[in-house]
Amino acid sequence: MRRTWMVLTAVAVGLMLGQTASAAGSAPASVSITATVDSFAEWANASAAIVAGDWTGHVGAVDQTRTATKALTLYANVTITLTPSSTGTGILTNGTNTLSTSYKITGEVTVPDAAYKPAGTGAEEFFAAANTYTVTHVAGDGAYGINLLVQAVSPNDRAPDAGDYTCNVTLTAGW
Amino acid sequence: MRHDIVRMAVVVSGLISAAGGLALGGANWSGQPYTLAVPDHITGAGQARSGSLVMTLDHDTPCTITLSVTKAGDEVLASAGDTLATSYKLMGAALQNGGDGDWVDSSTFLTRNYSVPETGPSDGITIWVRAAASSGRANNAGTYSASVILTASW
Repeated sequence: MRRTWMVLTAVAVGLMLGQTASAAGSAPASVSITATVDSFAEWANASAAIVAGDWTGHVGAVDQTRTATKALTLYANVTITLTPSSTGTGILTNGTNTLSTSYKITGEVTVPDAAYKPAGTGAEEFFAAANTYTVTHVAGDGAYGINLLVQAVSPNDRAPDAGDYTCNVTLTAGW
Repeated sequence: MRHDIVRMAVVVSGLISAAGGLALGGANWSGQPYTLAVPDHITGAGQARSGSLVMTLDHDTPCTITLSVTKAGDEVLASAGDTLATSYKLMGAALQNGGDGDWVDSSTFLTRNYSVPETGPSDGITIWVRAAASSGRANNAGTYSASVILTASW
C-alpha cells in the first residue's frame, strides 16, 4: 500500500514538473491601429509679404509699369476654391496718392489669369465675388504652387508722391 | 485496497487538473482583439498625433516580447498609397527598465525585444503609437491603418 502511494505520488509530481518545466512557448497578440487625416488646406506661409526688392524696379517716371510676383505654396488634400479679398481697397496707396493696381493669379489653378485684373469689386475685377480660382486636388500631391502677381502703374499726367505705397490682399482657401 | 487506489487516483487527477488550471510556465494576452485608434485627427501639415492602448499579459513565467508584422510595411500607417511617419513606444512597469523612454521609429521598433523578468501574474503593457503628417504637403485625407504583432515568448 505504502509503495503504491509512493508510486502514484511520484507520477503526480512528475506530471506537475512536466507542466512546470514545459517547453518554450509563445503567445502572439495582434494590434490594429488607425489614425485619421481630415480634409484641410493651409498656406505654407500664411503671412507672405511683397517687399520693395520683389518689384521689377522702383517707379521713376510717369505712366511707368512695375510688377512683382509672389510664389505661394498651398498645402491641401481636398479641391479648393481660392477667393481674393482685401481689408482695404487693394490699391497701392501712399497718403492720398495711389498707383493703378491690378492682379493676376497663376500657377496650379484650373484657369489661371491671362491678363491683369484691376483691383476692385466690380464685374471682371479682381475682388469681384465671382472671381474665384479652383485648385484641383490630386491624391498623393498635396502641395500646390500659386502665384500672385501685382502690377503697379504710375499716373500718366503727373508724378506721384515719392515714398512707399502699400495695400493688402487676402487669398482665402475654402472647400 | 481498491478504495485506496480510487482515492489516490482522485488525488492525482486533482493535482494534474490544478497544474493545468494554473497554466504553469506560460503566458497569454487577454482582452484581444486589440485595436488602437489615435483619438485626435491630423488637421494640418507637419502635425503629429498619438494614442495608446493597455494590453494585459497574463503570465507565470518570465518572458520576452518581440515585435513582428504579417507582411512588410504593416507597421507603417498607410492609406491608399500615402503614409504617415509612424513611431512606437512600449511601456509598462513589468518591462525591464520600464520599456521605451522615447519614440522609436517603426522599422527599429520591429527589431526590439522587451524583457519581462518577473512572473506576473497579470501585467499591463502599454503600446503607444505616434502618427506624423508630412511637413511639405498635405497627406491625403482618410483613415490610415497599421498593425503589429506582439509575441510573448518563454
